[in-house]
Formats: sequence, structure tokens, C-alpha cells
Amino acid sequence: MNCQEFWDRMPELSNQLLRDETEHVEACPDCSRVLQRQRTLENGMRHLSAELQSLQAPPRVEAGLTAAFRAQALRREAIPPRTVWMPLFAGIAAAVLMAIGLFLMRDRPAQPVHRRTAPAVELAGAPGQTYLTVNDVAADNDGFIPLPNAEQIAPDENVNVVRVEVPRSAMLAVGLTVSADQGSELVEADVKMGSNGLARAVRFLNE
Amino acid sequence: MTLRQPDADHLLFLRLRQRDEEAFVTLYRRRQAPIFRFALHMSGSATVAEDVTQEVFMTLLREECGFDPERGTVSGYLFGIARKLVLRHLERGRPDVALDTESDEGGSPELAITDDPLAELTHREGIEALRRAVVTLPRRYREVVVLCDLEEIDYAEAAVALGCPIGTVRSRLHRARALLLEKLDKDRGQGLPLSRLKPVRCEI
Repeated sequence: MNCQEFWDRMPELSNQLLRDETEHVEACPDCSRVLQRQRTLENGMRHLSAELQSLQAPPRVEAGLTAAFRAQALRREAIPPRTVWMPLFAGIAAAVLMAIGLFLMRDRPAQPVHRRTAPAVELAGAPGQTYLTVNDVAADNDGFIPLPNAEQIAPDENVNVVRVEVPRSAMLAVGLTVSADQGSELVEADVKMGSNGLARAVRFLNE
Repeated sequence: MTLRQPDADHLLFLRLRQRDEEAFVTLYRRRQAPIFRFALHMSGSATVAEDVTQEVFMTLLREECGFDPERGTVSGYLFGIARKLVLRHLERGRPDVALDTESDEGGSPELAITDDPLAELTHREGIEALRRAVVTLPRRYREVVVLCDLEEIDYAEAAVALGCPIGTVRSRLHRARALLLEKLDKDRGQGLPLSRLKPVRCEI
């Protein structure tokens, strides 16, 4: 071990030297003397530390902190803990929401039963729900319902009727009601085609 | 994983969280003096040291004080807060002692041995010279000397307080002591400062 390696180990920070460090110190008077000076410095620090032991914060610091501690304890007692506030807030919020809901339901105007177009697919089984049937919409004597925005069939017009399968949700287009869980089912329908080849009316067979 | 056994400070801390005033006062009395001295050495001002001590313990009263027993002791945590407060004070441009000369004065002449100038370090004047040397150390060396040599906390605790690895604490302390020797040598008008001595490869 050379001197550099010896000091790289910072031996002055250890209470005891390792064997090779001891061997180096014994063989190197320069390092031995520097190490001795480090030990002296350490001893001096110990004396300085002892001298400074009497230094401490003035009593007013403790008095101020104790007052702060008591004031905080009083504040905590005055304010209910969070565990009390949270359910209280939740209860108030629920009551307010319920009151708003009741108010809106009371003032809602009655919905017309008959309508030409379906605003949306209504939920099956929902309370107060009204199902529209072919009889409720403006069907002709054969049960064909005119398609929205299609030309009327002239009395002398040649028409073709084509049978197709369409999703039940297609019934919405002519104002019939479809429950949400049946929207994707297939249903047979007759489509009346005009002389220009465009669909004019539809009749659902197994609605 | 082994859980650290709560020491006396930690138990007091747990009690004070339950609003036990006696625990708070006891913890304060156990720890205020080292915190005050640390702040005093670092700031050079008794007023600042007083303010820092008060603020450190006020932190303990806060709901979210941030003490994590897994990271270290209450003492290390308190020193860490004190250090941050002192640094904040120093950064405000009111260092009561101008200390932060971070240059370590490079240059490393080869090893030479002078007569022992430290023999009187245990006497009154020697201790006073040492105290002056400590307060004129660059900040990063001064704080490690104050913590490890003057307050005699262990390296692990100092590492928590300083927010650095233990190896850094050791190397800074090593360098700090070399700087102290150099300052003491200069005070006595000695020739070559010891800290600037570069060991020769003597191949022993």
C-alpha cells in the first residue's frame, strides 16, 4: 500500500486501522505524523463540541411552541374531524339531488302517445312506457306505412312489393317503438317499390 | 424486510401526533439544543438559529409533516428541516458569516511535514481557533463537520439530514478536516498547509 492508497481509505474516519493500514503507518513516518495530526484535530473537535453543549434555544422558543401546540389542539377540537364531515356532505348532496329530481318530474308535460317519428329507442320494461304498433301509425288498408320523405303512390302507379329481412331497429324509421334489447333482431318486411324503383312504404310482418 | 424498532424520539413523535403535549415538550427538550447549535454554526446568527429551531418544531405540528420512519430517525429528519431552513436563509442573501467559497484551493504540492501546530487545540485559544476555522469552512463542508464532529451524529443520520449518500458524507468530512488543518496552519503562519500535501508514492 502506498500513501495515496492509504489516504484514499480515509483512515482518520475510522476508530481502528486495518492490519495493512497499520503496517503502512508503522513503515511511513510521514503518514504516521499526518494521521497523528488528524487524531489531534479530532480530539480538539471533541473539546469544542463539549464547550458548545451549553448552547441552546432561549426559553421563549419553548413557550411559543407550547402555545402553538395548545392553540392547534383547541382548533382541532372545535372542528369535527373529516370522518364526520364527509358523510354529512354526501347526505346533503344526495338530498339536494333528490329534491331537484322531484321538482323536474312534477313540472314535466305529458308526452303525446302518438307520434310520427320515434325520438329514440325506448327501454323495454321502463315504467310508464308506451309501445306504438302498426295500428297507431298512419298505415294504409294493407298495413303499409309510408316511408318518411318518400313520394306518395299515385292511384294508377305500378308498384312492386319485395319481401326483405331487416333489423327490427328499422321500424324506428316509421315511428314504431322498438325495445333496446330487440333492436338487432331480424324481422320480415314487405317493401312497396314505386315505378321509379324507390321504396315508398313498408309493412312489417312479424312485429 | 425488517422494520426499524421505534426509538425514544419516534415514540414521542407518535404520541405528539395524538396531541400529547407532554410528548411534544419532551421531544423538544431532547432535540432543541442540537438543532439550535447546528443552525447557529451554519448561519452564524443566534436570531436565525432561534427562528430555525422554532420553525423546525412547528413543522412537527403540521398534519402532513413528512416524517417517514422508514427513511431515518426523527433526529435526522429534524436536522434535515433545519438545514433547509438555514439554506433558505443563506440564499436570501443574509449570510451572517461569508462562508460559501466552494473552491477547495487546488494544487497539491508533495508531502512535507511541519512541526505540530495543533498541540494546543485542547486549550482555550486552540478551541477558539478551531471554532473560527469551522465557521469559515465552505457550507457543504461546514454542515458535515457540525453534524458529525460537533453534534456527533452517525454518518447514516447525517446522510438523511443532508440528503446524500453515506459515502458523500464521509468524503466531505475527509475533505473538511483537511481544510480545517490547512486553516489552522495558516492561522499560525506555518509554512505549507497540511491539506495541500499530496502524498508521494512511497511504495511501502
